[in-house]
Amino acid sequence: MDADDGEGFGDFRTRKKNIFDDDVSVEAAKKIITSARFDDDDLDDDMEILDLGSSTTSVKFSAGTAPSSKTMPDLSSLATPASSSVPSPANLRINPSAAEPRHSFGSFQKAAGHVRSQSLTIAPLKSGGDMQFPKVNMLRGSNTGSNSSLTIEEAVGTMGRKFGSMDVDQMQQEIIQLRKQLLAARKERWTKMPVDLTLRRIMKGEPYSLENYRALEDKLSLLDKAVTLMDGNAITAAVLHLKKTVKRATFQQELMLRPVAANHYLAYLRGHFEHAELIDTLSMLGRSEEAAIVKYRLACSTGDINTKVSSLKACLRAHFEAEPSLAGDASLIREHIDLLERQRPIEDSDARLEAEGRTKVFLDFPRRFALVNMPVTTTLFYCCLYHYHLQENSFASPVSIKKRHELPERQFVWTAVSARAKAKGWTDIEQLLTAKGWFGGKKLKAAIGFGKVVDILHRFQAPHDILAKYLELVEDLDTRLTLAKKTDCKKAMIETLVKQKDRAGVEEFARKYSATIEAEYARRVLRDEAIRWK
Amino acid sequence: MATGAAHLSSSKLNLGLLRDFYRREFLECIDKCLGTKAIVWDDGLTGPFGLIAEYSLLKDHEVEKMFPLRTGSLPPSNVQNIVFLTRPRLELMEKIAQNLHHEETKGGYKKEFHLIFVPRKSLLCERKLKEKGVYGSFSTVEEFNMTLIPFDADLLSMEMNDAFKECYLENDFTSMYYAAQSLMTLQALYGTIQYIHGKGDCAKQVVDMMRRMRDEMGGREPQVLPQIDTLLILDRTVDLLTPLLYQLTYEGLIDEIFGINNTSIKLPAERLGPQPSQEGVESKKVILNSADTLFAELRDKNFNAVGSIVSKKAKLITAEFGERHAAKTIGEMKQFVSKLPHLQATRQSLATHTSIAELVKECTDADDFIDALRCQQEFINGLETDKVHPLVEECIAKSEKLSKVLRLICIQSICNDGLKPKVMDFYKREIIQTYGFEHIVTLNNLEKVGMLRPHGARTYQVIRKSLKLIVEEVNEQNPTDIAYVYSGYAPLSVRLAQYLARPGWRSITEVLNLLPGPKVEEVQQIPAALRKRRSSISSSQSSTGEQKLTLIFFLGGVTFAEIAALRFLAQQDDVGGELIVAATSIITSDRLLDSMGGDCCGTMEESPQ
Repeated sequence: MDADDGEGFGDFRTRKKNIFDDDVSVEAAKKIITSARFDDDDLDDDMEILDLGSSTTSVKFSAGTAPSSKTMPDLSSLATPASSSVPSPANLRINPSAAEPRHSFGSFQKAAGHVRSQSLTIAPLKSGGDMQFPKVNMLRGSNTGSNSSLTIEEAVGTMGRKFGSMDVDQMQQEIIQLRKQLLAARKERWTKMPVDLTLRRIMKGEPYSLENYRALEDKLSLLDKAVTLMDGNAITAAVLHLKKTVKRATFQQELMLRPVAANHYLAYLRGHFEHAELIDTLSMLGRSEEAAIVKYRLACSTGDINTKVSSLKACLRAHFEAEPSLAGDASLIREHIDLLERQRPIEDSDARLEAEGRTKVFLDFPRRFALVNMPVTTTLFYCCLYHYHLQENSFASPVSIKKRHELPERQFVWTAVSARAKAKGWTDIEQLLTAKGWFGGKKLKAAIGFGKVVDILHRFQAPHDILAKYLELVEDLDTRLTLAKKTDCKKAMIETLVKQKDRAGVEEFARKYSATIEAEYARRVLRDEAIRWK
Repeated sequence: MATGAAHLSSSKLNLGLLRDFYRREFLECIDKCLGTKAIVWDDGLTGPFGLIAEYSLLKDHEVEKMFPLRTGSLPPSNVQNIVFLTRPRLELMEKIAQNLHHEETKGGYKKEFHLIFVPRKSLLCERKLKEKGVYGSFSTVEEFNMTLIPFDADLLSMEMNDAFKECYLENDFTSMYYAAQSLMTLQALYGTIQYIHGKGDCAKQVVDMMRRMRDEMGGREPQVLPQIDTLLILDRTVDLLTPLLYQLTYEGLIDEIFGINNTSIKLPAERLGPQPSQEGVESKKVILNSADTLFAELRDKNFNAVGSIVSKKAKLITAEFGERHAAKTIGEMKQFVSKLPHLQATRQSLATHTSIAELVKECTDADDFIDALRCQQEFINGLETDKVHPLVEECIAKSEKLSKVLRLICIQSICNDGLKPKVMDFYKREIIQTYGFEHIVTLNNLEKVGMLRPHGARTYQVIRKSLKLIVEEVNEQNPTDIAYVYSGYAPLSVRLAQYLARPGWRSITEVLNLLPGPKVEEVQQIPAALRKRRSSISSSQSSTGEQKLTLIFFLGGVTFAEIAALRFLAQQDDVGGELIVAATSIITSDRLLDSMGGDCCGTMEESPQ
């Protein structure tokens, strides 16, 4: 590392000296000198301001103290008696000296802020310079700063301690230290630092500059080294530097060779919502599936329904249909588009009908949400509730939804039964569950099993006679009994117990519900000698 | 200084030290801005910081106001400094920028602004602030390097819930950097760890980064007597199955049902017995850590064993309270009175845990829980995994929570070494049709991280058999194997730790090769002066001195059931030595799966049925 360092400086020196080389003409030398001079001036100014900016903290003690001393004019009278051992002149002597720099720097502080924002607009990548301010503070803070800040805090605050000559010494030492840092920064400014050193600075959050890496190989070696060091900040900085300074084609080419760097770049794009570039980069890297998903996500997050449909269509064409491996997803997206296009007219007309307030079903069951953007089964539920009897050629027809989205029979039955139960359309449920048997014979059949049908009906508070009808169809007797108990369907309970030939169960029932009509029925059953008990 | 943190120092490794370290650093950090200050908190940080400092302490350091970080403008205050305390996340930078814009247009009394990143500055965030034109308004931008937060005497968490998602979904390994850094902090406090083992891609990365950081220190290594002997780093991808399963330990169930947040939970107040609760307070905060001795005993038990312990304790305490009648002499009376505060505390904690256990029991007795558990048991035993499971179908039809449906499907997928195309397509369609098309993204994400995958090479059965993951006949009351934490399934991750301790990983090389990611082994040299003298003058204490201490670090999160299994291991004689668990966060299946959702899905509206 040290050797590298020396080499770097060596470079620097030779570059500077070369104006005295024989092959340099006087004019050229002059030019170089003046331009360098100019650069230096520029730099000086810059650094001056930098310096002030970074020394704001040292001055900040007074910045912190000054206002409070203004708001509390009788501070000295408060402080003096508290610790009479310290002579008050010390206090008086220090205060002006601490306050003075503040006033004189006040305007510079603004200037510093201005330059900071300027450097932003001109060259965001010069962030190294910007980072200097906080970092210097931090370094200082960690060794001497916190100490001296504490004493000042105590001096101004309630503790009543005063400045000592120690504090002044400390501040002066700090000024010396900051000057040294400034000199070092000035020296380094135009040096091309070894890649390792720069990277380490990035990783440690110290000021750095990448603008001296001008050659492509320098930039790439910076990037590669950063990748081997696995530091996210460093990789991102190197990638962005590369992107800013080389042609787009070169950038993409180099990125393709470096998947890790590419990932960091993608994370950056994602974080900054640069979706277009994100999708482009993904496609370029051959990660078309990811690109498709990003695009789809983007389309999904569109608020307006019309825009959403058109951007979904665009996404389908551009990404999903173009990629054979995404054929499965493409058909899903097509369904998504169809669903939205189905929901749109239904929503429009239903919203109008509800607003008019003349359609009974909307009065009975006020709509709790807009239909658009709801999932398929919810849409089906909605249509079963409000538009159950529509013909299949209508948009809102449940059967047409079932067909288009290839809903499995069970899912359809489940949803339709729930919706009709909510609408108290018991006959609809019966019709739905009636299957035509051989020779036109009719038979009730439920794809989800009658146990579940009873569950659903119970949930929507179906009357007992309806429940009993379906309970009878539950084949497993134990399940039927449990369900009968759960739904509090007493008649079905007795009948099931009789079927199970469980006399003790019936007796217990008669005892438990002795006051009900069903208990009478139970007693009658118990007297019935035709039944063979277990 | 370590107020309210006595429970941290009860194990061999005094984690109180770490807490004090953070506390000191934090105070130093905020003391840097002089005068009165208001702290604006990133929501994700209040919990963790609550564990290292308390409000009164901050008040002593001139913190007058505390605000949550929100969009829009800051509440009015007349402090000299505004300190933003935030994680390096871009969405939070937006909020901060908004706050600053509003503050600046407001004018009035000039304030200074400070920004503290926890745990580290990020280039991207700083750029964002510059783009928004507010970076220059900060007087200072600093970082406060708090990564591993001590939760208990043997538990550390980084509280980075998105670590898994970031690493495996977005290929963003920042959290791994933090993990490596936190391990360096630990080594600075507790000495260099000699042996490092790891499994998985991220584990390798962390070890590499640690090596680099060590090189960077260039010999300025901590001159501390090494206290941790071995470090085991495990990737969550090595064992994706375990976190998906229903945890059956007391603490695990509490976490699954109520969600433990920074060692505390909120419970409905009316269920917590006849305590005097104020009007209008709906929930009560209960702190769960080993400071509560009853909880320390209960937390790792299988829930089926909790009831009997609680009732035994209740009898015991009644008997102890009864002693006052037996006390005849003044001496006896005095003795009783001296025990009184302890007794009362125990009774209080007993009442709390009885209520919690009742609440948990309500959930575990519910039909849907039992059904799901039965389904899970079938899957992990390799039964019925190759077809559409009726329970999954029913859950979808009932529009139950998506995370529950996904959980079962993912378990099935892992236990079947991937789903058959027909089954996969069926599930996919049903989920999309019931929960919305947007979940194409969620499913895609699950495939990307490997929780859901097409049918592939058969490995689960081999791993299951050779590591004895399924244990018939578990004794839930007095367990003999770690499998008790899932009532018959031994967590793969913990088995790996067990085999590492004895007889060593060499014996299971083949299984390790079946698991994803590389195996890592590294020995860090320890300066001779600091090396433990194995047989020397101190041999008289060798029985205690020889106890090995192992740190197990889970990248991508750990569940409470796994922690329980590890604690159980540490108590067994044949493994020997103590264990400390660290993780990027404490996870449950729900938290893990929720993080997989595409961000456009937002919160699922409950279906209108």
